[in-house]
Amino acid sequence: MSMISDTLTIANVSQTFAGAAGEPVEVLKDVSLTVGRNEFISIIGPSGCGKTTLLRLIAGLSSPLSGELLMNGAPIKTASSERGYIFQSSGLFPWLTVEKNIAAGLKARGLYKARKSEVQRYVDLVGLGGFEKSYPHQISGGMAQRAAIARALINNPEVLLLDEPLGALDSFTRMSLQDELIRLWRERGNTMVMVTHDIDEAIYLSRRIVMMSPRPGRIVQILDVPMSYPRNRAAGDFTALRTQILKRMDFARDVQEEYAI
Amino acid sequence: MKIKFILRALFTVSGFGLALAVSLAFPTVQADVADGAYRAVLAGLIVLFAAGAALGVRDGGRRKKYEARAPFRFALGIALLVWDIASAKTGLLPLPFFPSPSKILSAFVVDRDFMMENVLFSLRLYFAGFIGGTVLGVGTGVLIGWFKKVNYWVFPLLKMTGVIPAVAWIPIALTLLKSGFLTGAFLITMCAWFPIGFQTANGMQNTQRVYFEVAKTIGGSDAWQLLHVALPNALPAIFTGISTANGLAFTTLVISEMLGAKGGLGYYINWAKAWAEYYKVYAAIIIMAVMFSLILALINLIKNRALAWQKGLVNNVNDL
Repeated sequence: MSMISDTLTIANVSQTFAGAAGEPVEVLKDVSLTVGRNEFISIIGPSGCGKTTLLRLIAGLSSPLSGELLMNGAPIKTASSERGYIFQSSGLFPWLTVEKNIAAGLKARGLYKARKSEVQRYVDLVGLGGFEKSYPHQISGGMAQRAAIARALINNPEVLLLDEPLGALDSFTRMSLQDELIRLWRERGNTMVMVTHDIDEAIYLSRRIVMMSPRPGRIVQILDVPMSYPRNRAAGDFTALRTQILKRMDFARDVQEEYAI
Repeated sequence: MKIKFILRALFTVSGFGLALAVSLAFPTVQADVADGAYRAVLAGLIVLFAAGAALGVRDGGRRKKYEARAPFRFALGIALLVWDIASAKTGLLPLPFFPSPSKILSAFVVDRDFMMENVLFSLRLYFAGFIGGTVLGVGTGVLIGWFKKVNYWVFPLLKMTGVIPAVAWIPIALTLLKSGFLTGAFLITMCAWFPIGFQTANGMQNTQRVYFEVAKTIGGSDAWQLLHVALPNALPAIFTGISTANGLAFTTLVISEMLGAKGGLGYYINWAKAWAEYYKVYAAIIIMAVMFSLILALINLIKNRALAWQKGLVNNVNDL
């Protein structure tokens, strides 16, 4: 077993959707990326760059037009509990309490009876003690997102895919959940792939940042974030990296304008 | 505060008190009227509402409700009084079509056993048919909502047969099933099947995609997604179907009893009419009102239990 083995391999993946007039629109073009074990990687880019499409392909929620997606060397064909997925809206089942939503992760796989006692641990892990019996509409967006994370984590997924999980939250809730994510990741050592359009969030959380540009969606640059955790949002290297990314994003916009002319 | 409430209580019972006084004070001119049952009911209502007032003295919430209902209850007593005067006491309302309240209530005494027999018949028929229709409707709806092939072949069939009033099947059903009871149960099943099946299918098909995707990424099989995602998502719609079906089922029940069955309240009404005993027709109508209200309340209770999660999420959860 080598130390640096790749958990996810994405090789030359392209995806096309039907546009408004039925014409094919290239959403992803020739995207290749490898994600190592225990990595925290963020995918950023303007809307329409295909970052969510890429995440859904990794999850196995859709299949690519061409190219290959592998997890630990095996092709990704369908969704699996090995790859947990956190949706932008929590996706909590409104008819189940917080506790039962978290338990659903076990029930779906028929493991509830054997591992019933773990549910409370996961409730506590995401700090939802006291809200076990609440229904999703009775708790805040931040709490709902915590519950969704616990529901995915109770399955011990090797990879956790996060689709702008904190996008709908206010900035204070978001910052505290960012710290939570780092804590969970470091405690549990799984691989995290997060889609975001918040540059600070990407720098604060990830070891590598994948920058994408739209029409067609492709990777323009992959940046290493060498800072140690916990990171300081006001530190010089933090802001320098932010400036670097912004410049690169502007560049992406230039390309788009040239394309329009 | 206390005195005001006591006055309110007296006001409530005074309507029935006056009705009772009129019944006792004036001689009855119509023939064959036994006032006993009517007077007992009035006395019972007075005791009931006096007891309600006594409970309200301590309980603020109960007191508020009681006070709000006082004018209506008073008016009810006065209405009985006016009706009694117009019928039994003066004979202004013509018999046999407009009997007095005492005459109608006496039906519950003289015809008690036969009435009870028919009430039980109706209840058996209703529950046999309605439970059958619910099971069939949810079953069909689940299959239509889940399998594209079933949707293609069965949904048009459901839509076409669903618009036919179930009672139109009476001649065919009576011939084939030979029994009035089976025919009635079949008709009620048919009339419940359509709205429940339709709503179940709709409710399942309207499930947000994200819930299925969540289920897939936490390892839920197709069967798990059906039972734990689509079906709970359809539950509010299923109850909408059940309430619609219920209204149709009451109508179908009574009509099928009037046309085919050898028992039930519909049959009883026909029988009483044949003897020109219209007071018994009214008595049967009163029983229907009470019985159907109780059934509605029972369904509402089940619904509120099953959809407890909607409380605060949807308006008017308690309306059926």
